[in-house]
Amino acid sequence: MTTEEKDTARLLMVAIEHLHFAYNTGTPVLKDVSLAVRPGEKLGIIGPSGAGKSTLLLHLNGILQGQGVVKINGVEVEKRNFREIRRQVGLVFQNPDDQLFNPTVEEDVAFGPLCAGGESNDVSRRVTAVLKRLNLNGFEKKVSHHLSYGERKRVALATVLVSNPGVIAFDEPFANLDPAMVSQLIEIIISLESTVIVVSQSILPVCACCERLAVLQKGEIVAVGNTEKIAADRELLKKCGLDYSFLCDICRKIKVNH
Amino acid sequence: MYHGFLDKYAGLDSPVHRLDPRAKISSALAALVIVTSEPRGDIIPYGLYYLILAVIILLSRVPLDYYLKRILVVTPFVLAVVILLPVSFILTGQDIALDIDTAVFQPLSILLKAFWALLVLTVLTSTERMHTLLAALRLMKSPTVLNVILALTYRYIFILTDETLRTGRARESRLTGRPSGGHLALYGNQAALVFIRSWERSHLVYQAMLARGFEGNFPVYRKFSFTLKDCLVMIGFILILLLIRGLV
Repeated sequence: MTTEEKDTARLLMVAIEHLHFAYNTGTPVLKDVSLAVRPGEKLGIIGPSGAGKSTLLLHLNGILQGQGVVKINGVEVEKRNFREIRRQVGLVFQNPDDQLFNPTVEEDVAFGPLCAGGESNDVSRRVTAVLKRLNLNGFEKKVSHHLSYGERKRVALATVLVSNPGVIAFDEPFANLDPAMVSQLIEIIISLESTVIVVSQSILPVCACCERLAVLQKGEIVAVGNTEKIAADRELLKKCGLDYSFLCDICRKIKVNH
Repeated sequence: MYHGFLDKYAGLDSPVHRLDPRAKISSALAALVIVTSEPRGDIIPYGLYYLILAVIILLSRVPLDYYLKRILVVTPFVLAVVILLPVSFILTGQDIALDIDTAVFQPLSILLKAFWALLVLTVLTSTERMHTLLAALRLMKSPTVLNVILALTYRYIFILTDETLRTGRARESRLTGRPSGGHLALYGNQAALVFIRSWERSHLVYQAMLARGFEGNFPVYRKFSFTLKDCLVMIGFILILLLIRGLV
């Protein structure tokens, strides 16, 4: 690595180099994945089901560890750095029911900062602030299983935002949401100051909130580029089973009928 | 889906509801130990215990039928124990004197102790939200593993109920006539499916916990205020029970 490359690597918020991973079955899920994300950048990782997108996300804070190097803000993801890494990286899981494991909203949101040794009054202030930011005031004492899916999704985001992580990674954030909630979530993601990685099959919402896209297919990164360029490459998207032109056709059709 | 059966009456306002959860838990534990260890077969102390409990139940404003339904659920099991106890003595060749104490008071005391335990726990869980009780237990330094298991059970029991309902609907919607292998095999498959999903979910939940910095300890966020009034009520209640028991 040249001095220039080293300097560039130091400036990266997320650096994944030659990552390989296979589950117990032995089938490789990630094959030589390399990605670089700059601080404050919003990167979308798109790919069909089973491409390895969620598996890739779980490498960002060491829940899964494959062969290769993953660095967050220059710190390598390895066991001795887990505490530091998990403060830096917030994961928003696809299903909020997997993320919200405490009985009440406030306990769930406070869980991360308290685990990090946060002082009780400070945590309380942060919980109130983040719930207000996500229009969840008054939800503090509510029990998670009494909330709607969209509300649970917002609470799941609150559990991550409260720790103010440098990197926020979303796993299929737009799945099972109604259009209004999708639009709201896009606004929220755009407003985030942290580095954001969005993993999704829903290309249009990802295009709306990310400036750069990476295409993952069968565990390999097949293309990386700015959103306009990747979204316009119909041939590539078609090859990866991500062609969304039928949506444009539907829109056109509706417009004609109206 | 909304399941409110656990905290159905926890939102009421009554002197019992207003007590600090730690005072309630301590009082309930003391009540269980004092009464279930009552050695006398005499009916009078039980009358006094139940009188105190009746006052608390009335003060709690929780409808009486709520308690009665819970008693009905366990009655067959308690009766089975009461009936089978003398039978077990006979089968093991022990001599039992057929006097009024053995025939009436001993079975009756088992019955009364079982209902006492049930009613005390029902008062406790119906006058406080489950998550508040769990937080209070955590503050009272209850074993972490036990508390975490209870908290996760409370959090996920409704999700599992929903999953069972959903898989049940899917089964019913496709069922025309008797299934091959019979209904029992079908229910067995459904139970296995829910079990596998639970296992997968537990894996994901653990990943989510790790992602948020979990290192083995569940932090306590809730704060309670244990006032002088809570303390006096708790001590008063325990003292009365001890007085009836003859230990004070």
